[in-house]
Amino acid sequence: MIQLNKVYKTFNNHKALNNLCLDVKSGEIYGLLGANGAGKSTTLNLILGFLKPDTGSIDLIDASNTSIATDMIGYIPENVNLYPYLSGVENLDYFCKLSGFKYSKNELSKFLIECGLQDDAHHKSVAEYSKGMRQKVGIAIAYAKKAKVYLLDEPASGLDPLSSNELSELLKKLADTGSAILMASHDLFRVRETCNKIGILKNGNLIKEMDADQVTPEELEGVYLNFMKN
Amino acid sequence: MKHILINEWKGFLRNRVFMILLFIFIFSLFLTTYLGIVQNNKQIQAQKEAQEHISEQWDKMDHGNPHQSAHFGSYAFKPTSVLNSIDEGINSITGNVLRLEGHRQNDVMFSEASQSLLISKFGKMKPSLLFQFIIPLFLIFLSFNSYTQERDTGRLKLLLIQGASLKKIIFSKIISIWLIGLVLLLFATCIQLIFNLHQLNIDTLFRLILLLISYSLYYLILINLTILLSVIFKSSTGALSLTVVIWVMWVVFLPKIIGNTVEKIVPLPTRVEFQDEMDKDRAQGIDGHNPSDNRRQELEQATLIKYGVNSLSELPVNFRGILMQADEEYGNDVWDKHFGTLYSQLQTQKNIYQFSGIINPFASLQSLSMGTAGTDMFHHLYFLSQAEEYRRDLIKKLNNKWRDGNWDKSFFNSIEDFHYNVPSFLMFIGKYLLDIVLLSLWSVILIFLVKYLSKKTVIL
Amino acid sequence: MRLLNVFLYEFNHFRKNPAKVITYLIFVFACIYSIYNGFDLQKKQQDTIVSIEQEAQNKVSFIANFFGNIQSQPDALEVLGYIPIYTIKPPSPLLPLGIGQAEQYGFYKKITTWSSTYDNDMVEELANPERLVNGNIDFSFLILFLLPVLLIILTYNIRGFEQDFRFEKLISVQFGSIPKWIFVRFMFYVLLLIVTVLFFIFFVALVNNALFTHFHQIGSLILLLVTYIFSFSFIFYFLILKSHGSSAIAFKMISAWLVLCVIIPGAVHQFVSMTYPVNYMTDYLDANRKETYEVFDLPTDSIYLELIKIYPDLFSTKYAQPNHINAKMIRNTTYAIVNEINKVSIEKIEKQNNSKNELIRASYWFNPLAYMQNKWNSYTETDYYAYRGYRMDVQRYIDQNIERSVFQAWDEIKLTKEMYDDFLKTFNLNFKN
Repeated sequence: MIQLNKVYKTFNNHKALNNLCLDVKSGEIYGLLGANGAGKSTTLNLILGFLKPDTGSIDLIDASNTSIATDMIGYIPENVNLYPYLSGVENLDYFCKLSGFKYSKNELSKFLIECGLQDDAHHKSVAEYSKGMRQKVGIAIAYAKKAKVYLLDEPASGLDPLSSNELSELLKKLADTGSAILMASHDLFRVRETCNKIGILKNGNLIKEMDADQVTPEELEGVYLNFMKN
Repeated sequence: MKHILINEWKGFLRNRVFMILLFIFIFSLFLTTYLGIVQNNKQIQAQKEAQEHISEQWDKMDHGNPHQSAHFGSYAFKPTSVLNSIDEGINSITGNVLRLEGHRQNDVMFSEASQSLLISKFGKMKPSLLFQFIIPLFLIFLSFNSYTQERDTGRLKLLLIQGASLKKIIFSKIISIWLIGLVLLLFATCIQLIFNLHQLNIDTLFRLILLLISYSLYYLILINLTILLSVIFKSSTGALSLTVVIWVMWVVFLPKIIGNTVEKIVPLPTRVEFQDEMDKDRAQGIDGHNPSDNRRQELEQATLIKYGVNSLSELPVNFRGILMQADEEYGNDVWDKHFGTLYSQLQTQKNIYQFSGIINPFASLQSLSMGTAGTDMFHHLYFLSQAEEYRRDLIKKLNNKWRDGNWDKSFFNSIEDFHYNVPSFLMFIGKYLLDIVLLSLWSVILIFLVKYLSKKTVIL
Repeated sequence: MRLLNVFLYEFNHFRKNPAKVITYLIFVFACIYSIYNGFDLQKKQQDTIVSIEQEAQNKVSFIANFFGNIQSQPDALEVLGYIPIYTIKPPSPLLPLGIGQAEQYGFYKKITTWSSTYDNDMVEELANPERLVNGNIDFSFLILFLLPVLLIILTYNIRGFEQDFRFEKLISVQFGSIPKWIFVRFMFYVLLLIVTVLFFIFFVALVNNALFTHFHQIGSLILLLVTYIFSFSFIFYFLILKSHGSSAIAFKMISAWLVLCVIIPGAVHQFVSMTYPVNYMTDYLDANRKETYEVFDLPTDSIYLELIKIYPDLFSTKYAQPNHINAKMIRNTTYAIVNEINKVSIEKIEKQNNSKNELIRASYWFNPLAYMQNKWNSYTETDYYAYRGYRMDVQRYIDQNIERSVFQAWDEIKLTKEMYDDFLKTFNLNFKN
């Protein structure tokens, strides 16, 4: 579903991405690992359309082999900063309206519940939310948009283990509905637990791709450290 | 765009600090506008009473002859315009009383500023002070982080991914903040209308509308500029510092520096030089009190020929009346020459100053604010000209009567008091076209710049 | 030692922030410009005074020559009436440090027997009124109004920056007391500003040779300046302590400045204006016109008695004697009565102005800006009272001139060299040349 073909991107003579080829299929959760500055955020920004590749192409193609518009993308940043003066439901309502969807209050609540946010929190001001709760609203925003592609930037950073686990479960649920999910992270354990496929980026090069179920967490750590050190 | 606008307003209305500030502004606007009107009405009343006092004195006095009355003269008290309650412009530093008498033209005296110690440097607490200094600063603070907050928290990406374009986001923010400025402006205007209903006419209404438009444009410029800088600068505090520095330059430094420079480009004479030059020209004329003057001889001859008599004693009229009027007319020419030059120098200074609106929209705003309130230099000069016109008419009537004889109390009582005709704003609008054009240009250019930048900005 | 290090290191914070350096330089440039303006106004006033004195000097020289040539003694009244008398308020050498209200008043006045202190020639110099409303870039304005703004720009992100980027705790761990750390950093800017301003004050004092002649005023200005900067610093320091984040600090600081420099003075101004609306001075106008004409209409006997009442010594003059009474001459000296009438009405105006000033002074405890600026202007001799003092000088000259004229007229005094010299001395007409 997400296809990057021979993508090059440079910033002031610095190669951020070098001939990157990536393919995330429908129903797949792809974990992109890499150190700071490896090119993970650049990859996400290219798919989001905030950056244009120097060469190469980025395609979002659905199961019937037709291109889908970028408005089918859901994006969940590292910190989902919502409007603190609005409640969870109001935030969701506002972001949905921006993307052209108008839902009833019940429907909005349903989305939030499906994304794991407890009923009693829906009408509380977001200023009172924890990071995990905001993250859930962020996912609900993408979900309500009926996104086919989810891009997540360090989604588990700063989350407690329980919230982190809930996030994994939620993403798996979304993947089961046929969405393609690309998740950039440092967290080897979470990526191993959540993703089907794992790629390791180093200096803009995708140096290793593997299926998550083929490696144990310890093996993944060994592979990762090995690549980073060399 | 509608959803973003509504959301912005929700944000404002649910922000306690904002609501407190808004309440303070509305309350202060109510108070300043209302008290401005009360003070203005007091001033109008005091001016009316002074004028009536002088008029009563004229009616009651024993005039003797018309020439004595010409020396006795009258006074013109500078009237206060209705919208002086919004912006008093130059009124506090210009004189308020002008003595109108025969043989000489006087200066307008007794300015308010010379009657006490200094109190404020930025003027009285009138709506213009709030509109020009305080509300803009409030709008700057609302604007500067309106965009940067979205960017710095990463929410901007989320908004863009949800389908809102950067252009829409930025303009929605501009409009939502601008609307706050408009609400405050409209509120003050309504108070003005409600409490001044009895003094309202089409001209005042037109002035109020233009005043409203001028301030609206200025706020639009200020908000656009602040947001533009916050889009350009990575650091929001850097953008804020720069905006505040620009604002201080606009409202404090540039008006003073440019005002001073203009006075250097078109220098005015000192009072001594000016008076000496006038005295010199005046001395060459017919001085009614100086019989050795050559022109007097010529006038005498011409009058004798006109009436077909051989000596002044045979004249059917009083020659001194003719002489005084001739002298007066000569004096008027001298006045026209010197004051004409002075007034045109002042107008040239103002015209040059108006061009500073190219780099300082505040200059255009100030000019329009004073102009629409009827408290700027053009209106002041208009008052002086009208008073001078009245003086000429008064002295001419008195001289002619002295020439023709047969005066009695009814003649003196028939002389009308000085009445100032407030000029219609349409008469003056040409003088402010440059200000209007410059304010509009600033708005349009900044809107285009914001539009251009919103297309070019890379969000990461 | 740690405190000193923090203090000295603040210079690095300052020089590495272009916005702060540029703002500081703009302020320095504005100071230079304001002082240039002050010197310019001072020079303009001095030039005008020189040209006036020149005119008087020419007349004095003419009369001086005349003394050498005449055989008989001329009438004192006639000859001395030829010499123009001026009362001048020379600009203070400290004027470049504060123009104050100097542009609201005239500073020279021709004295005649018909003069009063509210004559037409007592009004301000010819100037563009819109320029006057905007005012000059005056040094005192920079100090009182813009220096606090500069202080805001220089200090608003002390602590605010560390809070924005969340490493305030690190500072706390490394240094210890945050208030102390803020205080030391703050003091760097306070001292920088004090030194900058002191430099300009001393520069003006040295250029105008006023360091010793106006020692007291300069000392008072410095004391005022230091008190002022420390007062604002105290408020800002307190705001930094009680706020979180640089934008909140900046907002509160600007609000404090607005309240102290714009809102309170503006509100007091409005209140004073409502309590004492613009005085159209009808009392003075009546004295100047109606009552003057009433005096003209008085019979000579009444004028005679009025004049004797003003100057009892007139009784022993030549024309006061019953067999010498000269009606024309008596009527010609009615100006002395008019002067007394004028003085009564002027006294009323001055009283009303004074009560207005009392009201302004009563606001000083909550309107410190007005106190500061009027105090500052009093040291640079450009406040209301400096010009009131000048008006009193004018009145003294008018009184002396009228008395001289009346006695010379009534006694038909002939001019002597001693009398002439005394005249020059009384009216300050001994020009050095």
